[in-house]
Amino acid sequence: MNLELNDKVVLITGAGGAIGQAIAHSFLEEGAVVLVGYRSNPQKIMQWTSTLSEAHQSRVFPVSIDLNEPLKHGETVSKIVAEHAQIDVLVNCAGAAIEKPFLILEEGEMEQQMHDNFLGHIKFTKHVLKHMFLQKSGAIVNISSILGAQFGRGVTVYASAKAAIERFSQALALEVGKKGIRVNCVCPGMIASKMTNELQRNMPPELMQMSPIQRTGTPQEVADAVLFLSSNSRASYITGTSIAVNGGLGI
Amino acid sequence: MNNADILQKVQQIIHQSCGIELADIHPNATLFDELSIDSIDMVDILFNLEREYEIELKISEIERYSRDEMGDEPFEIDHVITPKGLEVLKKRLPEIDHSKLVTGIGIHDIVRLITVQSLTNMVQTQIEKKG
Repeated sequence: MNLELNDKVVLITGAGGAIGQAIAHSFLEEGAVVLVGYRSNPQKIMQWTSTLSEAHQSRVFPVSIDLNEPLKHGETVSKIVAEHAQIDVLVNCAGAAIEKPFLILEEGEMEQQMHDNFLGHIKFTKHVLKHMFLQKSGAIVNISSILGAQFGRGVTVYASAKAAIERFSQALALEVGKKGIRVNCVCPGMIASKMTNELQRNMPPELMQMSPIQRTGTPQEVADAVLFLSSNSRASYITGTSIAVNGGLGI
Repeated sequence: MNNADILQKVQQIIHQSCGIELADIHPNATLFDELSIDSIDMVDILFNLEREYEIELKISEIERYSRDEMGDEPFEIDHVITPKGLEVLKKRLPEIDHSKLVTGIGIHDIVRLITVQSLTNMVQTQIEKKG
């Protein structure tokens, strides 16, 4: 299937994590120009992107994006548009979970969780969307989680924020569809990554047996769904929806 | 830049963003009620004008400037515009049909009074402010 992502400009927030890296790598394989957004570990990101750049003819660019600094978003996005002319795809992949029982969660931690997993994304999205509006085209894919709909013990606020980003995607899709912009969500289940391993401690031990496919997923399997939804040629009639990449967990 | 040139550009952008025939985009037509422009198309029009003239446009500024002009006197009470507030609006928006600025209209009705000419004047004000 030709996704026709060649030369598309793709911006990924939180691209330093396992899922973000798989998404970035997959877009590069399709011939896209990839802007790798990161907040921490700049050295690790520079090293990784430099290796990728050799293999993909300098089509990968690291971009510092701190969702906690919304005043810089406008400048960051304008700079990207000045250098690359457009942003065709935005993948909101950044996220961070604090695992604690709700009753001992500090108020500041609640606000941080909502910001890291919801408010920061929508504030950043607003800046990118303005350019997509002027282009009259674009695809936004938000990474939610199975926790937005199920489970969530020990990560109540994170789970709530993931539900919020999924609902935001649907409501935004309603607003911007007529301007040629599609907004969708991918909801990963148990994916082999550092974050999932940490969250898994509060999941039922028999979880994998509850899943029809009976194994954890891979970051690549999440990336495949993201790429499909990003493709204006293959997912042109799909907006406001969520793809659950969870091996059937919970059906 | 003169008002007629800006009006022509505003009409073109409305035509491109909403697909409304240029002939129907009269200066006195109200954007929401008469041209049936919805809020998303309105955003599109404002973004395009901002890009065209490198300015910032906010429809809400009509209300804000009117409030500022009134100093300590109330512009509205419980969202209903006061008689003095209506007078300020008439001065601020000389191009609109003043028979619509009647006692009892609310602050949320202001946006519905805006015409193609009002938008043109807003653009011109912002261009002049920019210098």
